[in-house]
Amino acid sequence: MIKRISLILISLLLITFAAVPALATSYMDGPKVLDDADLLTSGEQAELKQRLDQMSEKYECDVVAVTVPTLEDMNSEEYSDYLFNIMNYGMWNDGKCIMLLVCMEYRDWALTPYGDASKYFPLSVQDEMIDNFKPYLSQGDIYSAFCAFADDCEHAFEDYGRIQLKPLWIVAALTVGVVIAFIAVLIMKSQLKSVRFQPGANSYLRSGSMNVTQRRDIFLYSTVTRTPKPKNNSSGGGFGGSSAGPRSSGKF
Amino acid sequence: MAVLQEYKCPCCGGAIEFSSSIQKMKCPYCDSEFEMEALQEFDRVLGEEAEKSDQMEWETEPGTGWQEEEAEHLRVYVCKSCGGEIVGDETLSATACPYCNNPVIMMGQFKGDLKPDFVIPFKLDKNAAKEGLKKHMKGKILLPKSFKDENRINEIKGIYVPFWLFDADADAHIRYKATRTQFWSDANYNYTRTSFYSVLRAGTIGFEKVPVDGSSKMADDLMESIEPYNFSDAVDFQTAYLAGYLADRYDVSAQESISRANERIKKSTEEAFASTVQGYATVRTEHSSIALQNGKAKYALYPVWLLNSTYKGQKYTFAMNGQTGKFVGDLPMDKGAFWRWWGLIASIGTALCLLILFLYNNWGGLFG
Repeated sequence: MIKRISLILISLLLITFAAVPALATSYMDGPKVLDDADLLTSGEQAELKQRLDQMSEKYECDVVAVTVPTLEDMNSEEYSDYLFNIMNYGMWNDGKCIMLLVCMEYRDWALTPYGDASKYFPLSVQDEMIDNFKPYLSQGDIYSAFCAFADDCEHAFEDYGRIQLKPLWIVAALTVGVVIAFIAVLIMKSQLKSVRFQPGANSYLRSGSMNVTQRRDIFLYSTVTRTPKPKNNSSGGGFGGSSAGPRSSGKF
Repeated sequence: MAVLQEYKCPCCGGAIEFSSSIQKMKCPYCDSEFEMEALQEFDRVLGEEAEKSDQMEWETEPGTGWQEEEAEHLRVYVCKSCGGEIVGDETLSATACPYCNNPVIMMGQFKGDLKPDFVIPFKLDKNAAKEGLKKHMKGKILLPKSFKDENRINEIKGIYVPFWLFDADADAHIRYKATRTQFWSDANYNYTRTSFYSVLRAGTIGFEKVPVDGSSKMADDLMESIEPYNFSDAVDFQTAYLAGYLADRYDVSAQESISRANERIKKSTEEAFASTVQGYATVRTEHSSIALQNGKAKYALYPVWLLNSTYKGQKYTFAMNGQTGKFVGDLPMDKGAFWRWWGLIASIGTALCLLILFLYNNWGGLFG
């Protein structure tokens, strides 16, 4: 009898320990596709949901695509934070979530990484993502925009930590290195030269001999130049909510 | 034959020299020290005796004569100690006899208009010049190692270089063009207002003892590089200070040196008055008119240590201010080291840039 009870208890313990990681890795409360504005067909929704669910589970980071009909007196970033909080996104150990929110009312969008997702989606990566999904938003092709978003998320997760040397980087780094080296060796070379004419005779000024007898400052004319301020639809780099990282938002 | 001057020790009869460390004449043979004034008086008495006794006329028949042009620039002297013949150029004023090494001074070079008004005696000796060269080579990364390690100095000589010293009051009328800028912006534009002003300044400023090299044998840039000299150490000229050193008399006249003095005075005057133009973003001299008044030129001998070296067939000359110790001289460059350092720094710089780009791209969020 005692042996049987022990076996049942051990089995229960084993089941409990085995279940904990399973629960942890499938912690996906909020829906990954939230189409409140009804911009996607049911087929598109299903296909996108399947893909984002898989990706979220694989990389332990919620990948969320949202459409809303209105921002309810909030801006797109505030609304993203609002959704993040009420929909319980980012329930992974380190609260990771990346959300693309689209609102058709005033054609707003916001791309926000939460928690440690900022590591995968720094502003430089966000800029590339925006270049890819924004044209679709402008054309009204919301599904393609979300697909581009999903593709880029996949790439960002895959590429994270991988050393990538873009040709432009190499050229830029080489140019900077060469210029710095030239400046450094020219400074070293200039140390070898110490023979030069004196520019003036400042060392031989008679102390206290300077006497200014006339001072006149005459205004002649003035010119005004104006340059347009740079326009930027996107605003990046702000922090919002409790765990939002540097993010981007704008209009399409 | 021209007249030579040697200073003999009244105790032992040896040739005595000016000692820069004790600022007196000192006999290297019996270590006796003499005040300048006492020696000068003693020397005057000896001079009078010499004038009475030395009535020697020489007649020589030269074998092959000098070309007239060559002969014009040569002077021949006879050493009073050993009778050796000393040949020098027309500007040589003090040297050492090549046979007995006694210091000799060509008195004829200091007669009449050629007599210097002042002399700054040597304060630093030959060892200080050697130390100066060592310090000068220190920390020069591109200096060839072989030049640094081997003793490549061919000769070190202490020489009194002739300088013209110009005193003048500059009466200046200078017009500058100056600008002030203001920045502001509204919702759409950034604005910059640039206001232009004509700024006039007039007044006087004085310069004293502006030196200009009076020897054509000395490179002017080398002599200006070891400036400044502190004129408070200058004393009235006495030939005794030259004993033990080389000296040249001037061969560039004061008149020929004026243009360089004017150039330096003009530049410093413009700078001095420009410093009174304040509160502007930019200031540029548009016109300056500088009139010199009370201009005077004096003739002085300044102490210089010259060090000559040869490296890979090229001559390198270094100079040290014999009063302040300021040391100058262009050094050779190791071309191999130049490119090695360039390659090393370029590689490190490129690697660092790539690392920064990589970090920014992957963890840019962390930098904000």
